[in-house]
Amino acid sequence: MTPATERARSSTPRRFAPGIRAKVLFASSALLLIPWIGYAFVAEMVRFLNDGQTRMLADSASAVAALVQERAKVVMASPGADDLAPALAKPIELDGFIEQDWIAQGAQVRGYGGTRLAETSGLWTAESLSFSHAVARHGDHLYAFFDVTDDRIVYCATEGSTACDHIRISVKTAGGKPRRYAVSASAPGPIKAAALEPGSASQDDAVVIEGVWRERERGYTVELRLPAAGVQQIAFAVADVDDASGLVSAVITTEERTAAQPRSGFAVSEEVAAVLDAMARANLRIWVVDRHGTVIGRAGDIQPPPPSDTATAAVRRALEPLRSFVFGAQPQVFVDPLASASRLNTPEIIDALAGARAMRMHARGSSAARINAAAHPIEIGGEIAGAALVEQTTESISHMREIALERLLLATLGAFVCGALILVFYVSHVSNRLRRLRDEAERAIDSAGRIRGLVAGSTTSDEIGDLSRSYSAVLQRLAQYTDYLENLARRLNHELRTPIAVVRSSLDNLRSEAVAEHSSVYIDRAEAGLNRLSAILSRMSEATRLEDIMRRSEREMFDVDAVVGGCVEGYRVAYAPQEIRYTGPGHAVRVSGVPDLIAQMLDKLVENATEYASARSAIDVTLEEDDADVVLRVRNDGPPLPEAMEGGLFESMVSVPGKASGVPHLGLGLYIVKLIARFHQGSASAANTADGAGVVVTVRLARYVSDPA
Amino acid sequence: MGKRIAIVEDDAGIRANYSDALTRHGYQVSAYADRREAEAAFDSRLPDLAIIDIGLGAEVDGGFDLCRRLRALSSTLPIVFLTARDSDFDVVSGLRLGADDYLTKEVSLPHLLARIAALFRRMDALSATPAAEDVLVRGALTLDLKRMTAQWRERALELTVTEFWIVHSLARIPGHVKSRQQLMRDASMVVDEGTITSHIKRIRKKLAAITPDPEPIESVYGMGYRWRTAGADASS
Repeated sequence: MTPATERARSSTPRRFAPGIRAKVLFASSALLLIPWIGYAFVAEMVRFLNDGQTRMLADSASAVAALVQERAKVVMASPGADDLAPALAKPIELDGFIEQDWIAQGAQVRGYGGTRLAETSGLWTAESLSFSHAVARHGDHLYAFFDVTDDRIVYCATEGSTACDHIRISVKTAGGKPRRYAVSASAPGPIKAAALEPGSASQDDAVVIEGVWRERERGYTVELRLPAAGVQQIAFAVADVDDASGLVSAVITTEERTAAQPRSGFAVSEEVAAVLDAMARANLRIWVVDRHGTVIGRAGDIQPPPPSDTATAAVRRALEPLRSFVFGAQPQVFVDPLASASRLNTPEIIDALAGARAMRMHARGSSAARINAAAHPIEIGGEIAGAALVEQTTESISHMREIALERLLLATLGAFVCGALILVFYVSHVSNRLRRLRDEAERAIDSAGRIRGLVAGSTTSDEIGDLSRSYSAVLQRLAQYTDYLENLARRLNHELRTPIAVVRSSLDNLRSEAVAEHSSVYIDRAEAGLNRLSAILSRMSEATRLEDIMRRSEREMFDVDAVVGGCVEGYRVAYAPQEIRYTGPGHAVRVSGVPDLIAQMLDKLVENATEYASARSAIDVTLEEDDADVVLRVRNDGPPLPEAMEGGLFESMVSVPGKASGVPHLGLGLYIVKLIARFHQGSASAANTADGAGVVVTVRLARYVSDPA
Repeated sequence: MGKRIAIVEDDAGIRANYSDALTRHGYQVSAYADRREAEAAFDSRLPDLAIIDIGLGAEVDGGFDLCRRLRALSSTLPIVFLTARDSDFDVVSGLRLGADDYLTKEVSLPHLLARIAALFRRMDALSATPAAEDVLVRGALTLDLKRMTAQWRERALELTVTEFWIVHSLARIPGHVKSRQQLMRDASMVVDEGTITSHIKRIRKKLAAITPDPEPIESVYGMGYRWRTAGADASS
């Protein structure tokens, strides 16, 4: 490393740069893929388990279906009754009041209005005609009621007439034709229906429809009763007559109620129920429904078990924040939407009832605890009579997944902590070795470019060891080379002295012989040249000799002011007529060092200054003290330093061309100044003066501080 | 019959030049190119003065070995090192081995001759009684110019010819500053100023070996050195 590069390096501020440690840790973040892969693997496993569970459920469903099919107690349902109207537990009293028997028994009451308007003669409003209506069955009778809103009630003049407010009934019995009846009233009270097509049918198959008409505010209520046996289809309509003309102004119809074809039903026998109970383990629920989705049999429960209190609970609690951060929060409440259903119409049931033999996988519920379900149709007598549904929560799977993820998390965390520790330790070790090598390498060469000590080649057999060894080999070669260069001057000095001595002694001999007058001129010139040659030689080895002296000499405490003052006195004589001024501090300035060296340094500085000083300008030598240092300045007017040279002037072999003089200029002068300044724990620098008219060389020396003791 | 001087020098040119010059000045000169040859000759007969180069052919320190051997043969034989080596280390080593002077090859022939003459004078004067005019007394210092011996505080001060001349030059007029150039001229040598500094240093050391204080040689920075005056000496 040359002093120049060292300077360049130290002058650039050290920005933050990631070291090897940071880089390796960054690169090792690729290891984060491992837990991700683990997570993906767990997800795949969960999918596989889910698949297996659904398949198992489908098998169970088909087994249940087969069992029910085989052991079914076939029950023939009464044809159609159920479909016409829902059965009521208690009989209905025909009194025109609906609250006690209809509403109290939970009949399905619907309102009818404009949307079902069948015919109208003019303006219809809800006040003119609308009604609520329900149909029910009890025993062998069908009941119906109408709560009609009518702004104008028109009673019939004669019973059975239709020229007044009336209710039309259309009834079709099994094997018979549809018949139409009308119910009207001449006054509130019991009423009877009259066939609308008199004479077209015999009295035999006529349906007896009885009822009661009660008037209420802004309307009336009607309750009707007719025998349910044989009725296959029934529909009602309310006709409104608003004036004595008997013209119907509006008719609102109800929907048509049809009894289904009689089919065979089935029930689950005790025996089958016991088997199903046995099949339904915890978290497995078996449903058997008929073809309307009504639940016939049910076994098992899918309420999740209370969370088990394992030994790892504490660990789990500690890891919960991290776990929920990584895998998402787990909902605490499990909701079973079918817990108390009496009728099922879930998609898989609908599909099974439609005859889809293929199992259906379906998941319900919240995302964390889902329910897998599979349904299978039950066929009795060649047609679909119902379906078997088997449900199971995915709780066990998600529990398993949770445990797997937890273990994965723990294992990964552990592996990462261990790995990171090992990595950090190892990388620190490596980077410490590199740093040590760097420090050694830096220390190996001092600022003067001299090799101080060799890096001890490491014996480690890895790359760093190699680097260390090759660096030490390079340094060794460099040391040899530097040594050679350093000794070159010395050796040259020594080697040239002998031939110079030959020349000198020859000249001396020649001079002692009788020589002609003109020849002695040449001898003089030859001697002058020889003297210059000797001077060059001694200067060449000056720096090395100086270092020898510095190594040997003993420090003493002395007054710099006296030394500099004395020296300047001498220079005034030596460099006359050059003017040299000295400004001292006026008191003794104590420095620990070698006064001869200071004098030698001043020699160089003044010699240098006189060389560059412009004619008839003075050289100023000043000495002053500041807080810590003694500052010596030598200023001369003259050409300013080239900018690039300001820092490098004090290196060896650097020289700015000055006045031509007989003294050889090797560029060692200021280097010697620097060596001496450093010997006195100081520094030397050169700069152009502020006005640019000259150059000032500043040398700082450490001030002698007397021992407090 | 002239004094016999032996020159041991591996460089033929210098050897011949010095031989010629010394012969011209009436000395009897025998020149040897290496240590073996010289030792063979010295074993049979010692010269009156020996001028030795340190590096002799392949032997880097052959001159030192030769000096040691000569000193073993005779404790009074003046030995002068004349060598291209000018490092402090070599000078000190050479003088420690008992050489009477150490000269670098920059020395001119007249200077060399002056020095040889001085050494012979010292040899000759050792037996004779000193004449009063040949003795210079400055306080505690006594210089016998004939014998070229010095005494400091009544004890013998062993000085080489160069050192003797430097001391003499300084002590002749105490308080008078002598520049390095002047000292060089008085000591009959042409060297760089640093050599004068190391000579002064050695003289101070020799003086200090007898009495540590006060130091009689005073540095006048930028100018040179001076011998402390008796008054200053007395006052201290």
